[in-house]
Amino acid sequence: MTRLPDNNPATRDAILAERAQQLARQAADASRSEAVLTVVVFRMAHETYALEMRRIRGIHPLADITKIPGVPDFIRGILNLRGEIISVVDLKIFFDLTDDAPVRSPQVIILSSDDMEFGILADDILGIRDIPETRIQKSLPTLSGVRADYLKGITAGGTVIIDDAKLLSDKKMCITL
Amino acid sequence: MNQEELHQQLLEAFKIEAQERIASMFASLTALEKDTDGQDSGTILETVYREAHSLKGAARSVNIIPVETLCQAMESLFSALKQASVGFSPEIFDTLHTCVGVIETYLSKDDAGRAEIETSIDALAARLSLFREGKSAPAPAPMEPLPQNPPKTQPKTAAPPSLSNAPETGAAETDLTAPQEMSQTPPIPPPQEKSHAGRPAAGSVLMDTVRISTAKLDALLLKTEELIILKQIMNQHLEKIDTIAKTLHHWKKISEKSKKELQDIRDQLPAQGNLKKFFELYDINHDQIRDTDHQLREMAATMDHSSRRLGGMVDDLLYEVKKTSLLPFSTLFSLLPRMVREISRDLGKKTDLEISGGDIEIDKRILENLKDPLLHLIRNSIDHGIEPPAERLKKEKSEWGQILVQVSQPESNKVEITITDDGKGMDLEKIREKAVTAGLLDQGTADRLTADETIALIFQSGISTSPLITEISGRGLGMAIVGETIENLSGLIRVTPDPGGGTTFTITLPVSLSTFRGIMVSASGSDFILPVAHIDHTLRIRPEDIRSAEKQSIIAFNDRPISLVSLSDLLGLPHTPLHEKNGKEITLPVVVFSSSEKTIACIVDHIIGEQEVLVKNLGKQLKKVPNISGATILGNGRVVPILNVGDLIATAAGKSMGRPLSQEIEQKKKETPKSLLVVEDSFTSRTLLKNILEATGYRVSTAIDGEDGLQQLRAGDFDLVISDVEMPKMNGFDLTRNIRADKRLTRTPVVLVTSLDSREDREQGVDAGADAYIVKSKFDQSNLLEVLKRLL
Repeated sequence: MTRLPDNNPATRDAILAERAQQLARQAADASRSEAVLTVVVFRMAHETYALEMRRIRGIHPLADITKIPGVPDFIRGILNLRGEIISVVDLKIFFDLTDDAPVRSPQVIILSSDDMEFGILADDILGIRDIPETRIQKSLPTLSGVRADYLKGITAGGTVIIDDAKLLSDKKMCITL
Repeated sequence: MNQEELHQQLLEAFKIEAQERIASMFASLTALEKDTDGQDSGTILETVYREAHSLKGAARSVNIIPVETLCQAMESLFSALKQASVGFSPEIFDTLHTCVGVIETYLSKDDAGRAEIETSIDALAARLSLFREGKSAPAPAPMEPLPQNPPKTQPKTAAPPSLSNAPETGAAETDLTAPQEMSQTPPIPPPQEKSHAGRPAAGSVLMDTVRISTAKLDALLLKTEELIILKQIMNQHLEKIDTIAKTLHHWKKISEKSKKELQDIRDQLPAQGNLKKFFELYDINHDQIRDTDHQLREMAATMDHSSRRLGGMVDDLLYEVKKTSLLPFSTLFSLLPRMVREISRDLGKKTDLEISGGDIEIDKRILENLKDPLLHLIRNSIDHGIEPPAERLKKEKSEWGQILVQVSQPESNKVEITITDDGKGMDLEKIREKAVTAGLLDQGTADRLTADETIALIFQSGISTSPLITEISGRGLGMAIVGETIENLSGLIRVTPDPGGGTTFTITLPVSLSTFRGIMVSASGSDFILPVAHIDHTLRIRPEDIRSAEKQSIIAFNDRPISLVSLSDLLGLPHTPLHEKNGKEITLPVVVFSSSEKTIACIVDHIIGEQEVLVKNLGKQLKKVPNISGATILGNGRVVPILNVGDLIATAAGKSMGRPLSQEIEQKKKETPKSLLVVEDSFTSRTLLKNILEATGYRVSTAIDGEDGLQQLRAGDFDLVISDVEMPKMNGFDLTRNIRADKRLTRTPVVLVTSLDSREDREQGVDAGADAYIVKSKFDQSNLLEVLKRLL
């Protein structure tokens, strides 16, 4: 669960409201025992996104990142994850989202499949939630642009669920010169 | 590790061993069957006998009793066959084959599946012992289950009472004498295993070699390699401690000096309450500094010692662990004869392959990566080099072309592989032609290429002199890939045409992979590692050393012109302005490196230093990145990319040093930073001044007193002198006088900085010939800098 920021009442209220809503929803869901999607919810460019837990290997605060010349802009660089090197993707750039706001404590969500692995830069981690599949709206008429191609759906609350499998298997994500 | 884990590991090991032994037994049995004349039967029988014996021991150690039982029975039968007390028969072979097959099946099953087979194992064991007794085998033994075999050699239930006490006492006997005694069914395992042929002997064999999965070995190597990082961290800590120790030592000296001065004051003043306390406090302080200084120095020395020991131990450990992953070249070379024969046949050529040095060992990972390049080179030699037999005869060469693969170890950590053919050699003209056709260079440039430069072209993609695109060669990609693979292994590849026709490829490789010496450089604010193996030289050049020729920048290196590029340009990084880049120095750091016989000089911002580097790949996402082959993790956890020298040179071929850099260098020549000498006896003031001045863009040298200052002035070339007045040995006034008296130095401006603010002193300064006199109380940066600006 997200730490409550004590210096920003507006954010805090928003988070509390969201949690309350969440709790109410979860209770209702439990009674119906629906199929749920367990996701990590994070903030990026002032919007709320979610990634399914299944392919997340870990979440780490962004420490020292080393830039690599000659790779696409959306590859922000590489970092050292306990002796292993992981590249970091900035979906803001990949999705063409304009956002210049400085990020206080960026986090890296490590997405991993058998033959692909990278970190995704998040402005903040909001927590882990269970989202009932029935609450995910598939068609997203309001969302356009690059990111529309990589979305699994959107919740009523406006959380955009990213298609992790598609992202991991996307050719554009594999850098081979 | 707990018991359960240990058992699991043993089981894993057993499975691998059993597989091999089963395969060997199958092979031996088949060979025995075919060996009609009985010439080799003795040796083969011996082999299969030993295999059965060893498998029995292995099965017992993991407590798989049915396998042990069956092996025991097989072993006894083999023994009897060896003694010729029993003759071979088709039935015996059939049964033995079945036995080995059953063992294989048994081991592949889970517990339930195994239980089903156990009865047939017992039946088979019974059949075997019948054979051993010289009886013809009955129909497959009854399926009634025999009781669970207890471990070791207890007789089965059906054993006659007379034998039930035999095994233990028969320890010294082998089954050579056993058959007559044990004439009953089912078999009594002979007591042989307790004899000299039993455990002790097997034990000593086991201790000599241990089978470990490569995955475990790799994990061990990785962990050991990470200790290098620890070693580096230790060195960094040591450096820090050293700096602190030096600062403290200086502090102690100051304290000592002022203690003496304070003593004078103390002697003159009456010891009053507060003042006394102050002096006491001062004494405590002084003692504390002295003690801490002493302790810190001692600790630094101890730590230095420990760190050296740790470093040595880490190096030794790594060396030993690396040795465990070395494999002889012969494991790779075993593929070659067949390949050469097949390719030659397909191409209608005759090729004789000669291999030497197969026993030289190299890192398994290098060997694995070397496979494709080596096969490619040999294919090339046959396809492009060796002529068809008729053509060879016409040239009065032997019909048989020859390929020589030789491995040697010129240095303990280097291996050299040469592949020589006596074919028609490389057609340089054709290579040039192809390069022009492929658009790699224009005709004019091609015509001017030297032989070496032309040969180097073959490592570029798109060049193949084979007119046909065949399965084997001709695509022109192969050599580029060969070059790249070798370079990624920190190796070098050279091509030498033999004067008598033919070509020699020489590959030099490190014996072990993964760590190498690298030079850390920076460009545009980022750090990079260059493998030392590729670096010919590091040097500093002056801007006036740079010449331009045909839109290229060139410097002379070893009397040879080489093209000059900037690392920032090559990597497409934003250009950092030169004055920022070089700080205070007029010379530019340059790294000269080469790959595939091409050499370039590369300007970097800084050459940071040489260190041991552990190679990591860039992760699953970054499969291939231009100019970068991997990354390393420094002692502090920071990640630094490792540059791919081959790529850099290829990139450089496409770019020459851009105009911006040349222009900047031109400008730089005009804006030479002024060189200052700071003469100051106080460490703190000296450092402070140096930092301020350097930050402003001056080049600063320091001297600790007037005498030192004068010496440096006479030896060097300075634009201005900033000096303290009160200094030991030679004070600022005397220094100024000396400067004025020196013919060469007389016009050098002198700025005196002092705490003495009296008219007399100022006059004395002016008399001595100082150009400016700044009082420390008035001293602030802007004041001094303004004065300097005016004087320079």
